[in-house]
Amino acid sequence: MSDFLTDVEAAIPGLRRYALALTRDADAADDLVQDCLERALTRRRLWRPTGTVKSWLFTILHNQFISDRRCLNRRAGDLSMDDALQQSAADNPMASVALAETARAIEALSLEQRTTLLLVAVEGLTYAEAATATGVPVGTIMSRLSRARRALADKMEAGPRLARVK
Amino acid sequence: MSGRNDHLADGDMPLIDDIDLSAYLDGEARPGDRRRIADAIESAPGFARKAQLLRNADAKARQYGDALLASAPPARLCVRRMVAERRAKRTRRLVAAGVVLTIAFLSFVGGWIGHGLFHQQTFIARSFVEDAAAAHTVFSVETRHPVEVTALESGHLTAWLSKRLNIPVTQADLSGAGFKFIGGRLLSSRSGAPAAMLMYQDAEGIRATLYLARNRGAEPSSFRFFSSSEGRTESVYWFDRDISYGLTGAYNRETLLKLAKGVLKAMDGA
Repeated sequence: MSDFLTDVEAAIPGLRRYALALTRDADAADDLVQDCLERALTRRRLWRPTGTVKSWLFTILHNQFISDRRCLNRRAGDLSMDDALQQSAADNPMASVALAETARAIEALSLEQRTTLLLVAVEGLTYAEAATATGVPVGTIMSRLSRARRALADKMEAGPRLARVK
Repeated sequence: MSGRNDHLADGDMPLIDDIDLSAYLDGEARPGDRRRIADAIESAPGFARKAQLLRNADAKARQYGDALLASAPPARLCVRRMVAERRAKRTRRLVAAGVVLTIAFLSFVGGWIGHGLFHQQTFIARSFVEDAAAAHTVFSVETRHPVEVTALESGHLTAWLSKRLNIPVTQADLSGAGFKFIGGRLLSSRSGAPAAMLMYQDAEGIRATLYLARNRGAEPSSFRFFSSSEGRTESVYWFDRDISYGLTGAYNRETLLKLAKGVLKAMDGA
């Protein structure tokens, strides 16, 4: 049982990251994660070790987000990455410019593409896990993912030369 | 998805699309497609470059993710604390349920005991008044020896009865109500303890008896009435802390009550 808790704890950074990408609002994201954790603890006995705790949590979080959005008709926040950027700008101005580019490119993706990219490329879920979490077939995951990567790669390549001065 | 296998027929130039490439990089390509995709990347530098771009895209996404997570998780996301709070809440709920159950159980037990006590009380009171009524029935009809010690020796009588019953027995003066004191006697009772009977008589020679005993377990009470099973006499009886009183006669309740109040007043004065 404490293994379960350890697994849950280990998943929290990823859950927060994903929630931020979904809500783009720091408080709303942590609300979402908190609801997800509460729900996971309530349903703890329902969890069957057929998959990982992590992918199970992502599924709960995603469903929570969808149902919250449906109920509250909540619009995505405008957090973008300002806070994070101001932090890193002090350390490395060049990096922050590049990061801003990246952020703009990722936030320009559709919600579906962005979430799929984050689940697989950042959080390391398998296609099957990402499909379960977002409630779509694996084929949809594959196409969303390739389109997201392609769009991102194109933007990076065509990005302003200024950022690439070396 | 359906269109991509069409290119397989194209012999020397193996074609793959973005989906193939992307899935291959994730190790998620179908086993049957892996060889073909690997060959394509090997043979055409364009694919290798494309693969590199997709990998870069992932790296960018990870940077983005790390930058998003600039702040440490707030305390409210501490799972261990959540678990502890849930446990505390559950404990509180269990305690509350325990309290409710305990109260229910104690109420039941209390009811049970109270019920028993009620019956016990009823039994004690009933036995006493039945003894009083029986003594009246037996002795009030006596013409020659209605009493053991007559009113002429009332001082001796009350002293004797007080001593035997271990309660202060006084000869209540009921002449105000038209009753004359005749005398009294010592009696046995159902409980095995001694009892006493004081006899009074009205102008027409009809008798009323006051039956007294040391109170053995009856709750102090106000006046209660009892009709003998034959329906010939009425009794009024009551209990104080030390003494049980039963006044019986072939009178209506109003008359008996008036006498009982006279007795009570005399006893209080004693």
